Amino acid sequence: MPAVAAGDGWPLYSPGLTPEKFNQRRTGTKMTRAPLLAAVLLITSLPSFAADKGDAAAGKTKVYTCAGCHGIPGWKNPYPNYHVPKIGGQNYDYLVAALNGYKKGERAHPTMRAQGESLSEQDIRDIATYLSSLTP
Amino acid sequence: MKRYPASLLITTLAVCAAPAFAKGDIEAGKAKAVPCQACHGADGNAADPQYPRLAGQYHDYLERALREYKSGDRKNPIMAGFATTLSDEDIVNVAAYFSSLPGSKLTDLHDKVQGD
Repeated sequence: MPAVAAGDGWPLYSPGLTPEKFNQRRTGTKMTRAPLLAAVLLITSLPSFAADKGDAAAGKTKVYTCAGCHGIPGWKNPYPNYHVPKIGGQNYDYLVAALNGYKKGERAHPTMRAQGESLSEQDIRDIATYLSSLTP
Repeated sequence: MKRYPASLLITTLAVCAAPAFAKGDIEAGKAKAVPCQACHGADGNAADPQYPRLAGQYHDYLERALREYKSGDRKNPIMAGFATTLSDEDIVNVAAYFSSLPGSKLTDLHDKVQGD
């Protein structure tokens, strides 16, 4: 770093100015926050689901098994006896969490656990993408 | 006490008692469901995709889900915290309330599978 000397443009009144800062300003090597800000903006502006969402068209094929119960209006779980839920139009993140919950045994339902265990992470994302796209 | 005809009294009782017995008390459920709205939406159609939409869901499925959160058969710390504060009657009523909400965005998969 070149030494700062009188005549190099050192301002007369310069509280807080150090030779290092002065040289950075003079030579244009001062690191600004602009590139960092740009990077942060770029990352946060990317849709957060871009990496998570699956393929709706693939999901439409993969829900074939689901429809065996969830495709019959009013179909009931046999024992205990209650309606199987409507899953079309349900929210994406919740569907992914629910299927993973069955898969990991965090939800106690033998049939749904077996279904969950048969699905890959990609299958789950595809199915959730298709289901969440449906409307009544 | 002959101010009202008996038939009106009987009709009123029948109308009030029948849904309460079958599907819970929607108004009582609405009163209990205030904390639910923060995540599941004022209209039961959660806008935040991590929370399920409840409006128009089958009431008996919602009851089942709440009982499982309460018992721990479904593991979810947030829902366990809420469900354990609900009595069995509250669960029936809250489920009836969400099931009754109009504007449901939920549907079954009838005619929505490849090949249908």
